[in-house]
Parts: sequence; C-alpha cells; structure tokens
Amino acid sequence: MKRLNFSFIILMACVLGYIGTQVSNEYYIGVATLLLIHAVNATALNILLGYTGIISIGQAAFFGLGAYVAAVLSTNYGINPLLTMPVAAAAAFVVAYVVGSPILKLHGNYLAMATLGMGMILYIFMNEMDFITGGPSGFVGIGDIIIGKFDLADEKSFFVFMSIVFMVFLFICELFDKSFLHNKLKFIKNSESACRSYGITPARTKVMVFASMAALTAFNGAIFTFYTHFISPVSFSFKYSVELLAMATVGGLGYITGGVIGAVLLGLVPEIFSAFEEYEMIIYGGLLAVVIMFLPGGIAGTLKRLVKRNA
Amino acid sequence: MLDINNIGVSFGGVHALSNVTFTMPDKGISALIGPNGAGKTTLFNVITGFVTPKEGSVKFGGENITGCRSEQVFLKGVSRTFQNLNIIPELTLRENMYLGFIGKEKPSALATMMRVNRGYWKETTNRINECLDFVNVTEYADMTPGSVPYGVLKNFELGRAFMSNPKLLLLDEPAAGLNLAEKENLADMVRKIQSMGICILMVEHDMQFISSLADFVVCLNFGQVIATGTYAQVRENKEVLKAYLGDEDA
Repeated sequence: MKRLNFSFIILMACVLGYIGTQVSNEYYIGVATLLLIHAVNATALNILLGYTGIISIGQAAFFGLGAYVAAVLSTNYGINPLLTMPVAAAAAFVVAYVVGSPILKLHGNYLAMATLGMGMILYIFMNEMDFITGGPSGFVGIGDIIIGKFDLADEKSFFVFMSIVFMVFLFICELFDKSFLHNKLKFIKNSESACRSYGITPARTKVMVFASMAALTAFNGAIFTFYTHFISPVSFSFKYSVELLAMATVGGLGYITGGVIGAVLLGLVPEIFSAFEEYEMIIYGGLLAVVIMFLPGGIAGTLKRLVKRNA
Repeated sequence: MLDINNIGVSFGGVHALSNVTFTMPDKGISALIGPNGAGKTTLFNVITGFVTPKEGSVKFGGENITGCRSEQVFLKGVSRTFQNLNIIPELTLRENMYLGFIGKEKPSALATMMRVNRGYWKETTNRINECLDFVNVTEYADMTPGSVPYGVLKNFELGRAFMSNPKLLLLDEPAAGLNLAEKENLADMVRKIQSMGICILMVEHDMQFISSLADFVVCLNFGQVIATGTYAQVRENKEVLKAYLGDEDA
C-alpha cells in the first residue's frame, strides 16, 4: 500500500491559509472561492475520465441539478441549507444511476454523445420548468448558509467554509489515489475484458463511480448556490462541461493534482482575459490542443516525469 | 475437470465452432492446437463466458457453466491469460499484480480507502510478493511495463492468472514471442503450477513446447475437433497432418 503524499495537501493548506489571512480584497477572495468550486468539479471529472475512462461532457448538468435542488428546498420549503446539500447529492446520485446504467454500456465517442445528450436534456428542464427553476430569468432570493451563530454572508467567511470543504475533499482524494481502489478503476479503464476475466464486474463499478461523482458534483453545486445566491441555467450549460473537461485534461488526467492545477489555470483565464470574453473558447481549445500534442499526462504528468528524472 | 459437449458458435454466417466435444482429464496439462482460424481462442472465450454458444454445454467440475458471465466463471475457479498482454502502462508490475486478487476478495471501497482491515492488506501484499517471486519478476516489481523485457511480461501474466489460486488455468499462446531460454523457463513454471494440482489448458502453436508439456492434446480445424489423444497420437493423425501440411493429392 502506497504512503499518502502530504506535500500537495500541505501546500494547498498553506496557500489557502495565506489567502484567508493575508488577502483582504473581496474580489480576489471571491475568485479564489470560485476556483475551489471549479477544482472540486474538475477533480470529480478527472476521477471519471482519467481513472475510470468514462468520458462525460454532461457534468455541468449534475452541478446544476444540485444547485437547483438546494435552492428550491431552502428557499421554497425553508430547509436548512446544510441539510439540502446531502439531499442534492442523493438526487444527483439517483439520476446518474438511472441514466448511467444504460449509457455506460457505450464507449468513446458514443458515450460522449450520450452524456452530452443527458446534459442537454437536464439543461432544457432547467430552462423550461420555470415554475420551479425560474427558467432563463434564474432563481433568486437564495439565503445564506448559517452554521450556529456564523452567517456565511461575506466573502471571507464563505472562503473559509469552502477551504475546509476543499481540504476534506482533497484528503479523501489522496486516500483514494493511494489505495488499491484507484488501481481497480485503472484496470477497468485499460481493459474491461481482462477485468471480467479476473472477477470484476466493470459495468457495476462504472455506474457506481459515475453516480458517486455526480453526487459529489451536485453537493458542490449546492454550495455554489449559497455562494452566488442566484442561479440561472446559463451557469450549467454545455460550455461549463467543456471547461471542466479542459481543466481536467490540461491539469493532467489520472492525477489528483491535475484537476486542481487545471482549475486554477483555466479558472483564471476569464479573470485575466476578461476583455476578450468572446475568445475564451479559443483560448481553452488552444490550451487543450497544446497539452494533448506536447504534454501527454497534462501539467501534473509532466511535472511528475520531471521530478522522477531529476530524482 | 472440463467437459465440452457439442459446442456450436456462429458469427453471422461463419461457423466458428461446430460440434466440438471432448473431455479434459482431471489432472495434468492439456493443449489445444490447430492452424490459424481453427477456433481455439473462440473455444477459450466460450469456456470463460465471453462468448455464449449457440448450442452445446460446458461443464466444469460437473457443474454446467454454459452462459455464465466471465466474472462468475472466474469465481468458480477458472483463470485465463490473453494473447495480448493486458498490463496497465502507468502502474508498476506490483500494482498490476493486484488485479489477479481483487475480484475474489472484493473489499469494500470505503474499507479500501480508509485502510482498515490491515490483515487483509498484509495477506494481499504477501500473496503479491509470493507470485512475483514465483514467476521470477521480483527484480522488476517496482518498474512500469514499458521498461521491462517482453519475456518478463509474459511470465508476469502467468503469475497474475495464478494469483487467484484457480482450479483451471487457461493460457492463450503463452510462449508466443519468447526465445528458447525464455520458453524453457516458462515450461518449468507451467510444470510447477501443474504440480500444485492446478489443471492447465493452453492454446499454443509451438509444437516443441507442447510436446514437452502436454499430456493430452485436442486438435481443431475449421471449428471442428479432428483429433484427441497424447501428443504422439495426434502427431500421427492423418487429418492433423493434412490440416497443417495440406493434402498430398492436392
């Protein structure tokens, strides 16, 4: 059994600690919070694609599903925001399990098309079911997360909350990455027939991974809801699914650090190049092409190779 | 050990196997031979549940396993190797070896991640080391497959199939691509596995390799059994000679 690698966890804790204590500009703290949210989503997609070989370009839909479930339950039914998060995750788990059971029999481009279709259908629901979701005008009036006497209304307190969630998530991912479970998923990615001949049922495992990552993304979507206090379908469109795919690929598929690196790099693109908003997809596409051609394994894979070579 | 009874498999209009019937002895090493396209690998796929036959039955240890999924066949004690190596490039051989164990024990995902049940992990690690040692790949254990010679990887595949303590081991062209010394080494390992009471059925083209190992040989041609018996008996069979060398009158 591999030893846990604490260096990345400690590095992230230091960076987040620094931002939390030394940065006072609310805009920068807000960007950091959004980057953490992207990082969780990109890492979940990385576990799907980089570890298990399940290409999903419908992840934004699960993010949106979680966001809407939390928003509706807390605003319309007065349920505590913290309780709405596991409910949102459970709802996404059920949807992903039901949808995943038939579509995960597909592979490659066909699976990509099926997940795209699933994402588009959920997106249409978000737009058309305006009596629940508010339609294209969005869902307004979402409250704050209140933990005891702490109201997470300002940027800093929400950043601290998100940092804690992120560090717990990162530690769990590290446990996963260094366990034999990660090997099992990579066996499935490499050869399903070999897995079957060794007693593993890839179909069942793939559906469980797909549903679990959907639940995680929806949980994160619920957090996003209480951060922005306003959600609309445009935040959960096909474009965001492609952005997540780019983040995971540029960061490094098959590496836990990959999702985080990709999310930070590509998450900063709209902030840095805000004057060129209409060219955003070209920047994503260009970066994706460069990484696929020149950096197999993404940035995390290249860094790992360099460290190994110099060791 | 293994009863193949009247097996028929068709892919579209092509009859890959017709009326294949033989009984594999309870002990020893058996071999399945035949020219390319004779249906040897298809028969392996039928036995291991990858292909469901159109007709006939497969009985393993007296139990009918026809139509069982490959995962179920594995759990009944049948393990196999493939013609193409199925080794994950980014994992070390030690990590790759775990595949041979995981399906049988099925630890829960949570227990795996939280590293509880240390006894299980200790036992697994010991078994992995034992198997790596058995197939002489310990010195390569912490390397990824890309930096390991092909012959070592073939041995590794054998070790991984042996890892789950099967009752029947199916080897698909184990000696393909190996040099003479590597083949002798492989033959020794196969004998050692057989001496542990594990039955072996292999598909192989190297007749010298088969003659040195196999107690029972089945020859297929165009999806049909044309001869069964000892290697000497099968070698003398006119149908077998015709299948390999062609018809003298032609």
